Amino acid sequence: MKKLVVLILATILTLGAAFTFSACGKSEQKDDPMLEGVTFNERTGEMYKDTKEGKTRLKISYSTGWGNNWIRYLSRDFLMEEIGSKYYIVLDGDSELTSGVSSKLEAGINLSDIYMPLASNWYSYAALGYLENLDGLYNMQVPGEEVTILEKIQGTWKDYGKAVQNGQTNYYIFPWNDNVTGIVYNKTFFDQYGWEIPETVTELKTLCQKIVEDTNGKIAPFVYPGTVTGGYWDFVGTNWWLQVTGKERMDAFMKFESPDVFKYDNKSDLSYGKLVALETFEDIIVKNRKEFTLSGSGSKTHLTAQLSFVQGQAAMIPTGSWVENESMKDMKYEARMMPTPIIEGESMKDENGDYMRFNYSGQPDFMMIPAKAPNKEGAKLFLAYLSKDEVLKKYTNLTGAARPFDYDIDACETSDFIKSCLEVWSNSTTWFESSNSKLWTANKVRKFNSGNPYTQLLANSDTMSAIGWCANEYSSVVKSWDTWLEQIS
Amino acid sequence: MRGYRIKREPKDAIFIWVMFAIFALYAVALIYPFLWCLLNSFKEAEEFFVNINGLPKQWVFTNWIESFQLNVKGVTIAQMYLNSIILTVGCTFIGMYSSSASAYIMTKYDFPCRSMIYTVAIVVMMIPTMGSMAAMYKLYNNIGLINTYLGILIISAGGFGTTFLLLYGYYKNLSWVYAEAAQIDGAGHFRIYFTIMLPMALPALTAVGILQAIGHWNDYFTIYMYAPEKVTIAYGIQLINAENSMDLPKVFASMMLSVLPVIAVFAAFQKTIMTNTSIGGVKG
Amino acid sequence: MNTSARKKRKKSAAEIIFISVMLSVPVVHFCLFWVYINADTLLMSFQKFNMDNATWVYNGFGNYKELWLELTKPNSVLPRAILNSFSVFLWNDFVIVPISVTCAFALYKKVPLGNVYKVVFFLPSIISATVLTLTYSFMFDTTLGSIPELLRKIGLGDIIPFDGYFGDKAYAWWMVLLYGVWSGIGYNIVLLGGAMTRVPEEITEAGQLDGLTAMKEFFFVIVPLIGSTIGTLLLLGTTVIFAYFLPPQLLLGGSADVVGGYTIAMYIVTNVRSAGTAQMAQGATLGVICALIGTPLVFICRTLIDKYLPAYEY
Repeated sequence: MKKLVVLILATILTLGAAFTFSACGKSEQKDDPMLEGVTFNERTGEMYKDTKEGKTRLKISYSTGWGNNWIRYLSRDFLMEEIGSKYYIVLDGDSELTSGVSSKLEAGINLSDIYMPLASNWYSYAALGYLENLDGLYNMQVPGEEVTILEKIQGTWKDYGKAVQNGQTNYYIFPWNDNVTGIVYNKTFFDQYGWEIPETVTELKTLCQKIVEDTNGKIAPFVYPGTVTGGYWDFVGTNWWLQVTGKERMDAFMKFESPDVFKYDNKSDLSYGKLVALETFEDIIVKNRKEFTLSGSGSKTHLTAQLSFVQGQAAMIPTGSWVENESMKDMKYEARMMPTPIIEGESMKDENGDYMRFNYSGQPDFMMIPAKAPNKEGAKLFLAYLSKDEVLKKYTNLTGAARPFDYDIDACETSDFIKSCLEVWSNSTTWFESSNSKLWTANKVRKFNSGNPYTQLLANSDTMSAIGWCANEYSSVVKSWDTWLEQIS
Repeated sequence: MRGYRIKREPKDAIFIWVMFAIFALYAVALIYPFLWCLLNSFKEAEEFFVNINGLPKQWVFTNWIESFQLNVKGVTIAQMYLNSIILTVGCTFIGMYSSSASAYIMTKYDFPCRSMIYTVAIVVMMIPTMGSMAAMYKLYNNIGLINTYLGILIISAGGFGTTFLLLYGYYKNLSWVYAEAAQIDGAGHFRIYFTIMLPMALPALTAVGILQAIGHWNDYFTIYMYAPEKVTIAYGIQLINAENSMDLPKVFASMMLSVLPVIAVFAAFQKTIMTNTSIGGVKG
Repeated sequence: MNTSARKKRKKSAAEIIFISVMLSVPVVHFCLFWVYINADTLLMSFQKFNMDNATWVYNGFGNYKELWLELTKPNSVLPRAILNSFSVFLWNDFVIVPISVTCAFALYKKVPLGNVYKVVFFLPSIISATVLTLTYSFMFDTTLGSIPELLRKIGLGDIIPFDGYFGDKAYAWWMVLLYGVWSGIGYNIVLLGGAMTRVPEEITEAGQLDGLTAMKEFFFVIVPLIGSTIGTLLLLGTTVIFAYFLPPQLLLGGSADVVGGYTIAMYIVTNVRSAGTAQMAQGATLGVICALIGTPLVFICRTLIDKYLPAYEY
């Protein structure tokens, strides 16, 4: 037995050595045409044009969730232009950045010049003085263009990056991605069975019934990741809420000026749209859970839910544009994203009489410059460079994601799936939760304050209703309000 | 050593065979997921999405090759193994030394606050702390221990964790008679500990040490925070996991890099590890 | 073999030096890496963070009041979290440890293929929790997993819950507990096996010659002689009450609160640690309460263990 085990160990080590040595020499720059003109050392992350002697270092630490290519190619472009001529760049891809950055900022040593973490609570970094004031950056003109960065930014990001530090409100973070979320559907099945994209929630319900009948229950209308908070249903639910309430009133809700923002029973109440959204969800999904959702969805992770969708076990899945990158690259079916159906009699119309469309993108990924960064000037120039039209388009081409700026998204070269997502994005107003209320930044009040309504309704369909959930939330908020105010005063 | 065999009672034989059957089922329940990971590591992601539980239709080795060719901040896989071995062996040795010392003293010697220290050791393990990693990071940076083997070794020198508790239990069983006999012969406290008690506790130290070593081998966060340049296998694998979280075949292949050597070592030496080694002391 | 009577020894200078030297590293390490790092925890429980000027100000018992409100509000997750956290301790002490002791004893009695089983049982200890929980949840996935597939093949498809094993309130927490058994026994077997190897062979052989059966050997010889090791494992069960986070988080994810799988540690991580500096005060408050509950609990457990599983020296 011992000899066998030693033999196995020796085999592994030999193979390991063989593969390791075969990789030697590959750590220097690979021949990547997109990096032509610069020297890039994959080992150290250093990138420079001609030489790095006499140049200032610009170190960028980024979450690797969106891959490495986009930041490498855009860094190369920056260095090739006049704006980047004084710098050499060090790229530091860090998969643990989102959880580890707070300790690094707090320690205040060995800092990078730019950090790009995924969505996380950044307000306390600003309050504690860890972040550089970016007002100057937002008011800077986009290099080579007639507009300022602030003028070019779209949607919620116009105000989202602000926080309070020492009684002053300034910009402290910079936009990274706009996600597109909603209902992704199996286009191959839809074409095969002649199913139509639903415009309204009534049509959506009818579609679900049709899917069950046409396939004899073999294909479920929906699969969802039950072990993810809310099962991703909030991507659809908050879209409905926005449709009913409108952006301005949602922003008013997010001010959390009193517990009455959680009142729900009159059309004039700011949480009325929440009730309508939840009742719609209840009517279509909760009450028809066993017919309209894939068995076992309540236990699925976002991976296994996507797997079920990719395998054709379900026709639709609530998710975001990232799903192509994660699991759909080699899917044998075609998929697209549909605009969120409107709620008849409730969804608002604009001045032209068209239904208002929204894209709820969830909490965003962002970029920030530490207050103690060694090269803040270079960092700001780099972020300003990323706001140029051609750079924005190149970013979307490389990642399939949009950025919250005003640019010609239709000119981007992406897959058909991403095109459908970007079509939803460009025909919608993107919104996500953002508030300067101290109750929000201190994490006392949230959008939902009585647990997640979607999973609660699904798990307690016999005992809980949408209106009951809203009533519970309101009473709980009223009870806690004064204590919360004491905590933040 | 006995030269005869005691015959098993029928009831004992039934017990043994029932346990054998239960063990067989439990072993299947453990081996199946391990084999599942191993087989899926030889699939491409696209095949995995449509063939989760079956044998690979096409055996591919790309995931394994890429895992072996992993290069993090200029550190190759061979260097990662070396870092892992150095830190695992070093941290285990230091951790065991420190925990064994405190457990031995707490069980064999009477002194003020002995009981309080024991209770505090357990209670602090229970308390969820809001302690600042940044404080430690700053301290380490100020005294030049960031990115050093020594820094990581110092972190593992704690004497009041789970290891302490486990060894405490073992040392409580260890008779003081051996020490008394040695004292009569003129041995001092240090000599008694190092030449008599430690060898007596070897089975326990080995068992606990293995578990400690596994923990150190799999720990990536400490390296990430305090010595990111001393990339270990665990850190490298965590990187693969984070960047390829949806490409499970790749994740499984990289996991095997960490797991297979440990299984091989444990399997090869488990008899030695588990056997009673009553060496030294007053016997014989 | 001696009993556990402790002999009082007169302290000499040499003994004092020995104790001081041996305890110096652990004590200094504890002071530096625990006390220094966490010194603020107690203070923080009486403070609140002012987001405007980023300072900590005195808050009296405000944090405790807020925690009480959190506990008593409608649909609060905390009552069930507390119940689940204590159930893990009871499960560990009254199910996992007894099973582990039995299994270790069977291996000690040289069950066939024992050496192979020791290696196999050790597997969960060396595979990362992320991969273990991933394979565990895959095994039980309703549409992708092998266990539901097997159940359907043998005609038992009807017993598979519609929401799956991790999405159904009746099953979710039991699946977490089952995972604890599935993944935790190997670790205990290694430790208990090590303790059993120290049991003098002469005792067991003499007993067998007198007709001692395996069961009697187990209860009257082995368990008492390794009592302190068993006692340590039982005592370790108390440490998980406030720290049991990873398995329910990985298996149940964001639906843990809804399917009855929430724990105190999950509450701390999801509502406090990830929520920024302002919420650290609430975490600190919880930490103090855990210490206040934990300390007498540890005393009680220790007393009971010392009474029913006294340490025998041999």
